[in-house]
Amino acid sequence: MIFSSASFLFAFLPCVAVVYYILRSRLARNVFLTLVSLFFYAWGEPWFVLVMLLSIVINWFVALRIGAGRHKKAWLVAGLVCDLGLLGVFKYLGFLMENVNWVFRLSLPVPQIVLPIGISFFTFQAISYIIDVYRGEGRVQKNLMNVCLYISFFPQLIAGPIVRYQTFDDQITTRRETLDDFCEGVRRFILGLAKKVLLANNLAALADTAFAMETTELSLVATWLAAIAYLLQLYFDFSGYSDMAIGLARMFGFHLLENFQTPFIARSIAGFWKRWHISLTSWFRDYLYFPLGGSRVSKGRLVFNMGVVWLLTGLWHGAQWTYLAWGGVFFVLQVFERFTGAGKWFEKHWIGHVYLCLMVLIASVVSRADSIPHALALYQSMFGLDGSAIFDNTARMFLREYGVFIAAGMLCCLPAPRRVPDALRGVGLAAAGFVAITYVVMGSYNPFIYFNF
Amino acid sequence: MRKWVTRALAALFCACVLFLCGMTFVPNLREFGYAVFRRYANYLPSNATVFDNISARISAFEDSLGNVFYKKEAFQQLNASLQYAIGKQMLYFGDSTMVKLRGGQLYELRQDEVLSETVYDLVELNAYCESQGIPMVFVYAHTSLYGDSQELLPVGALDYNNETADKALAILREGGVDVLDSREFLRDYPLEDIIYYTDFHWTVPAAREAAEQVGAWLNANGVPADESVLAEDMYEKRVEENIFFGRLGQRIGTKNIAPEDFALLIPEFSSYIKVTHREGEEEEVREGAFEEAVMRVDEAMRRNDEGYSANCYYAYGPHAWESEYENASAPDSRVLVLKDSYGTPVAAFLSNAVGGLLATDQRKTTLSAEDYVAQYQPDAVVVVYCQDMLREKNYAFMDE
Repeated sequence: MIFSSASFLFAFLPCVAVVYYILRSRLARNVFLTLVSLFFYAWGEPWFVLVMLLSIVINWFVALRIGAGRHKKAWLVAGLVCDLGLLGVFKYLGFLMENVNWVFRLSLPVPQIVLPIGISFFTFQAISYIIDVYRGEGRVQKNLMNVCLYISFFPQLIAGPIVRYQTFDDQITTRRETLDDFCEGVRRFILGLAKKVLLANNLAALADTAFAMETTELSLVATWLAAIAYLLQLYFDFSGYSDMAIGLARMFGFHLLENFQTPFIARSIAGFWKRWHISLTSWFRDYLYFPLGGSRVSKGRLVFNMGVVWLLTGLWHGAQWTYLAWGGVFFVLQVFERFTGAGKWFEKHWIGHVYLCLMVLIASVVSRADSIPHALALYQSMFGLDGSAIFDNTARMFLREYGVFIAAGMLCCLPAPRRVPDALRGVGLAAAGFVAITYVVMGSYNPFIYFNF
Repeated sequence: MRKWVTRALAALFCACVLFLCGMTFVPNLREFGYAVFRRYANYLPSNATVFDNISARISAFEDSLGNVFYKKEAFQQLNASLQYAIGKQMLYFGDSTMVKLRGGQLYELRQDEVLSETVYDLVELNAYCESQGIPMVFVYAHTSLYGDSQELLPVGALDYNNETADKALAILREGGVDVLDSREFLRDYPLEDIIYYTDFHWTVPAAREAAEQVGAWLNANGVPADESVLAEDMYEKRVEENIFFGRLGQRIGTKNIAPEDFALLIPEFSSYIKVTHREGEEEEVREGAFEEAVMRVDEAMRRNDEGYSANCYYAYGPHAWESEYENASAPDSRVLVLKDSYGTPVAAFLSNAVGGLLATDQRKTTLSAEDYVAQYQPDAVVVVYCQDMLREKNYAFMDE
């Protein structure tokens, strides 16, 4: 089930909200939220809820054993093996076998395993829990249902934000649902819905059309429009989902941390990643980069640490060479900024905005391409190296059909101007929400990109 | 101030959601119950597991929700108006993109060239018919783009309708199947005479021309058919103005496109036909002149409260599982017609020319085409399909 579907908006959410607020006790509400979260996950693919429950039980048990104090490291390793093993089997085994066959010229069977939705998210959440318990930074939760609620909580289950148990723990038992929180949550949900349905889905139509075409059929302008559309689609799809997740959580009294903070106003790649998918970058920072030594190491080691983090960040997004390449691009850029001082220079000059947008745009192309050769062909098209026309009917059509969405998308990447009166903002949001509902009712299959992760 | 604006916004949103929720579910509880507890079986794969059972019920529920959502058409039409208002010529509906052709006709873009195994099933069926000494022809009913796609479509619109048709018909011809391509036999007709403005079906005159082509093919292949009763001048053309509002038009509403004229062709010769329509266990029999027995003018041309009819394409009969025609005054030949909705009027016209005709919709029947050939023992098999039938595989041709 996805947030921007009629099933969720007009069946699941109203029923859950009404029943939740009819229930009076904290325990009843928590149990109810847990059950509906499992139901929410099962709606998409019923048997995968067993996979998630298995992960929950394993991590709950491992944390208990770690908390007991004996053989803590062994239990942590066991837990990590289970978590990463589950992720590895479902997400990476096929990719691994394909590449083993290719490298060693074998014909081993490549398993066709269906990826459970959101497995990367809930696995990382579970890993953060047991590591925090091991480090003494998080309390052991003896109540299995509370762990289940933490991992399966439906607002953030499918596509984040990745929530640390420390921020969730107290809220399970001591949160207060207030009218203001509920209303702010609804407001945030409407914003996310509008971003997803009005901007992301429409930009996706352009991107999908363009990336499915032969690159030789794309003019220079058409290729750039496709790249811009894809980057905007990615941003509004993901940030829209995060807005909806944060809004939904707030409707039930939970406060989740922000996941996006107008990333396109950054002036360097380093600055960008402090604003984009914050929960993921902070996860890799706290659970991989710092344990590797962080930046308080030799230059060579620092480069190694950054390389590991960025390649794994790419791989987290998908079991494909294109995602590895995407991570590699950011690794190279980060090394460039750090070791040449370019990052600090860009931060002080407006041209940093141009640099940042250009680099992120170019990097996003490889993540969307079907393969590395396809990405290289797209780059050739973008820079006029393949002999294609500069402007053609396809570009004309893209501008005619999607120009409004591209312009609106670029505008919405900027921080909202403070001088706009609240009433006007409210009216604008109400109108956007209503139009979004017409799209939802019109009925479409519009899955979130990050479901694939 | 922000707090009160937020509260008002939240109240409005919750009220809207709860209203739509109530208006959708409360009057349709029985429909949802039927979907979740009975109709879900249609979604089950063979050897279904418990999880397949759950998934099937969810699919049935979601389809029902999509079908009965309160004022769904109004939302669709409002959305279409908004898309036109921002200057779009290609209306994006999530699962399809609709444009207006240069002549103003609505058309859904074909955005890929994917064909299903159905094309190869037809080759296999042809081979089977040949082994039985039964000639078979495939009548291809093209959708809308008769002519140069680039001239008909908005600038830059990408469409693979003609390419896909070429690909499919090449496979059929290579497999030895006789093909009648509507892009050839309708080439000389003005576009507005053969396609609708608000619907994806071809017009009644186009269907008559297709039937005439089939009549000529039957005679050329030794199957007696009275071609003379299929000629254009044997029919009176009766035009009902501003009446038909097809499915594509309904998606965008009368504010964006007007109901159109609908042309009926009424035989000017006498006829007596017995027609039996079967839907599962139900059967309906009618006898009489073509206009009384085969045509359903009153039902199809009845205007609703808004002044139009969405049912005009039923003017030549329902899209039944099976429709069997018996015409004692026509040559004594038996023709099996495998058809979709494009083929319904074709079969109806053909019933004037042959003694016996059985038209089946393989999407609905429980028998395979091979079974029908074996049981009906036709003198010829005619397949009348549009491209969409070749893109999907949920029809039974050969026994598997």
